[in-house]
Amino acid sequence: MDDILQIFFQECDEQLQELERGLSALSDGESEHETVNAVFRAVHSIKGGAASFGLDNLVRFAHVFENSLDGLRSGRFAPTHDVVKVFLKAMDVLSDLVNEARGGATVDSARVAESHAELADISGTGSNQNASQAATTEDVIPADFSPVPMDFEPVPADFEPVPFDFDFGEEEAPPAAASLLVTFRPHDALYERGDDARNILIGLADLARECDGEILTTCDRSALPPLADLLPDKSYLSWQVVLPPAVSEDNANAVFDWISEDCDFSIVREGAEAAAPQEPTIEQPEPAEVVAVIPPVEDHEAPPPAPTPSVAHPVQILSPLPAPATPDAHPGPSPAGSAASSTANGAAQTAARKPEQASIRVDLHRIDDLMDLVGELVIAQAAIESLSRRTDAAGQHELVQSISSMQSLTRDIQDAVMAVRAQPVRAVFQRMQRVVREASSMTHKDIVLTLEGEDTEVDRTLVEKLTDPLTHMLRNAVDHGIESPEARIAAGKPAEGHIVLSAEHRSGRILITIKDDGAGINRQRVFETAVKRGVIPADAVLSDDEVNNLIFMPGFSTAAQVSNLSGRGVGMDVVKQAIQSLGSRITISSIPGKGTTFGFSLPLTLAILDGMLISASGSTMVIPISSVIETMIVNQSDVYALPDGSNVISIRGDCMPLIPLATVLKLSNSPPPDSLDASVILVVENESGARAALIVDEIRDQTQVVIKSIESNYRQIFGVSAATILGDGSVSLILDVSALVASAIGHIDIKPSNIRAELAA
Amino acid sequence: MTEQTELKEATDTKIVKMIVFAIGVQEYCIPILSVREIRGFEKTTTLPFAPPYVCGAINLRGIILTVVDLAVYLNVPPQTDNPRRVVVIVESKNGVVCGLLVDRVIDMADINLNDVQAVSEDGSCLGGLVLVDNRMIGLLRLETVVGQLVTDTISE
Amino acid sequence: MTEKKILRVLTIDDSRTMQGMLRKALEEAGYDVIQGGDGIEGIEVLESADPPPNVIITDINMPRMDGFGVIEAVRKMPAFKHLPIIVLTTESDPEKKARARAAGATGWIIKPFSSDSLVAAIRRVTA
Repeated sequence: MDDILQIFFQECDEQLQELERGLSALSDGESEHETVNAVFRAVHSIKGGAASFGLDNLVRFAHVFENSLDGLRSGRFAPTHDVVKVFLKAMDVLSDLVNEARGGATVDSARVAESHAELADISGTGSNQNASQAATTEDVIPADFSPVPMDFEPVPADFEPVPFDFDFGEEEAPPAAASLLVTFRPHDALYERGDDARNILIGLADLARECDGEILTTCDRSALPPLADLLPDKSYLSWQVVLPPAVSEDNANAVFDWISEDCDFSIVREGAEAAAPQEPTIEQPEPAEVVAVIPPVEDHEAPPPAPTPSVAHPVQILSPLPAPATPDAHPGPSPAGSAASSTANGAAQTAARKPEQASIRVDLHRIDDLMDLVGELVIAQAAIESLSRRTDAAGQHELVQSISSMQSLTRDIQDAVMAVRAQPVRAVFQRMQRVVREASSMTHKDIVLTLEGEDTEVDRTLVEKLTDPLTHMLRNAVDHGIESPEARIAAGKPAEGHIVLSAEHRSGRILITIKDDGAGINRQRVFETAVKRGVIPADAVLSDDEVNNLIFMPGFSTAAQVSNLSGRGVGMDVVKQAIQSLGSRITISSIPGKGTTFGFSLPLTLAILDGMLISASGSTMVIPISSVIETMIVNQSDVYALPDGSNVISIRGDCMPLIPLATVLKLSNSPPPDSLDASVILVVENESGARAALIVDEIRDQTQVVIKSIESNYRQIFGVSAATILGDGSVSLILDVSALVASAIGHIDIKPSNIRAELAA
Repeated sequence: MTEQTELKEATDTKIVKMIVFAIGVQEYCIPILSVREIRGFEKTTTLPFAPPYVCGAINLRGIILTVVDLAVYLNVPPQTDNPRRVVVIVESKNGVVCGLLVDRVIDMADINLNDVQAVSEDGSCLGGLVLVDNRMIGLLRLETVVGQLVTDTISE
Repeated sequence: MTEKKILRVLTIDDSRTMQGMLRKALEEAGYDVIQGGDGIEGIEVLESADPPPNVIITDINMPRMDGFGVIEAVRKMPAFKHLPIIVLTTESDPEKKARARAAGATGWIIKPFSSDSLVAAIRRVTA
């Protein structure tokens, strides 16, 4: 059961996402039927699964939620702004309840109750014209949802007796001495629905067998036409079955549970009135003879003793669940049931201990693609093998060709594997809705978050790492980006703030932007704050962009009023670090009065990198191509020596430090040559756009490399971010360009650059 | 110290199987259970800012690890021309894998930890000395070596 | 009870949880289980199943094609016109049941269900 519980929780996550997606579509004014249905289905599924595992809190809340959504679905009220708001809040509660069921933190019952009341309120006020519906949406789980008392007691974890539960014999069966006489005549419809009189007979025989009795069956073939006239789809036969006295009417009734409308039947105790009852149904083909309608409730509350023929049968059951369905009006959890419940709890506890889901769902066609490629790979390999045995020149040529096609195949396989690992950013993006919702309610702002490009896919390891930085950035946008409603109105803007979170593919990377329509960064204030905090000297001369970037400085916070929101422990410097560790940098653009846009780009995967192979002092190293701006040969006249022995180079008027790679990394002991003329340099750029020129011995190749950790078995090395394994099996280091640039700039003591260096750090 | 107590706990009889190797004229041993494999010494990739005893990095079936030249580490004159030099790949308790470059592997020995004579220095890489067949063998503290490898500050 | 041939059950449900529970309960009871993730898929599975199932258990509320659609579609297929179909539902709405019935459902099971009730329901239509 544990594994199914796991599946259930996984599915809850998916359903919650679905719910979030649907609700945000609703709040965007879309009210298509399918959207509403999907939302309803999501909650409905969670409820259904939760009920199977006896997750009472969850079932109860989901049920109320579902009822409210049903009101929306059936058009009893419209998805107004307020209604959607209540639903969104309920979704958060539901999500927390799922988490609770998983073993997470207990949800504050007041919160649940509040949301509960709001939900009830919606459907209540929305369905004035339908009083009975309003009643259902109060606290009541309809009796047939599960045969549990109406007073909102927890649904017992075990499975309740259901209609065809045949074995509640002993206590139920009235100690009747007389045999039970069952007669029935199926309509054509019974057969049309895949049922068969044989099923009924066997059902009745089973009942008899439970009481160690036998049935006595008589088939009435009087209606059977001559063979020539016989229509195979028609029903011509009827049966009379005598059951042992121990069989109760209820149990016999249960056999007819599904076919009460497709079959004339009567169930009578033999004895005083034995002769009478057969007539009405057997002889008459029409069910018009229905004598009475017995409400199911009465039927099982007190099984009528020896019913009179005129009253009891045939029973036309109008209730959704026929009487015999719940023969026991107050089912207590059976011993077996409580055992089941404790296992369910146990399962929940084990589930809590398990970390993040270790499995992913992959589209079948992606696996198929991969399989196809692997098939091709096997063929290509065989070709190479046979070609390598040939010694003629033509064979050599073909071999080279085969190897190059093998190369492209490998690249395709790599892409296919990445596609398998890829996940849409949707999951993370949708979580941000809640972040914004909570943050705006805390700051008393009215803010709408719009998501764009949620289907953009990135490597799943990256998806997970996005959550924290995005959370902080959005909180920051809510807290500092968007103004208070009053200020907005004063500025002639709509009171409702707007934030757009978007993802898109751009040149092999994923670009993520967070755009708000707030006041923009107050550069004056940022600058003053930075000076006050000693982050920069008061006489620093900074470009607008540099001022913007000050907010990422450690120790910086727009101190005037740190709200309890973005002031919660982490600053934007942490965000910047997190983004950097994902191999990106944050860019800011801000227009006063119009808003601020943060952007950063992510590689499609963290596992593979496009790199330039260079050598320095005999070592082959890799530089990420993304950070290389250009490569060139040094002209000595562009180089200026600084007093401390370092050099700067002017490239088209742009001055930047020269970094002799081998020396900086202490790979070579020999001092750098006097003249740098004709040296090969790579102009590289770090996250904040600061540049430096790396002096290398040689540029060897451009290639894709697989990133391997070096720290797992060693320590962090300055200037090195990771390592890789080259084609010959040797280890090659991947350079950390930002660190190299930062340190080079740091060595040169020019004030604005110094700040740049710190910004880049 | 901790390693030794742990070693003691690891066996009821306090007998631990050790692999014995030579560095110069000295013999050292480490528990055989920490050894993953032994391979020939191959070219390593030089690492920036590495302490002198780190030869560099090698690729062990896709895992990158560093090789420690124990001769340099232990201040014993290394035998660079010795063709029998091998790299003993070891794994520390916390899962760090590294290679130890030794002059040659001698043999295996069952060492009774009760026979180990402690050496005074605490935190040294030498866990004690033991006499086996009249040979004095030093107990190398693997965790100390690996610990230094992982955390040593860069001496710029 | 006397029959020893293995019955094949097709379950159609969009919830993987429910599918898991159905599979577990049915396989433990000795049935051969095939599954479809929604109505459309369920019909596809039914059409390509060899041997064909002896009974279908279907959810009502599903994307793409719901349970009513499944029942109607199956009843239109000459080969499966008389195949028992059991509806799996938490629906409290009597209308739903009436619709399922009108579409040609053989019976229904209320979620949450127990293995016993599930097996009893199948026995009820395949006895």
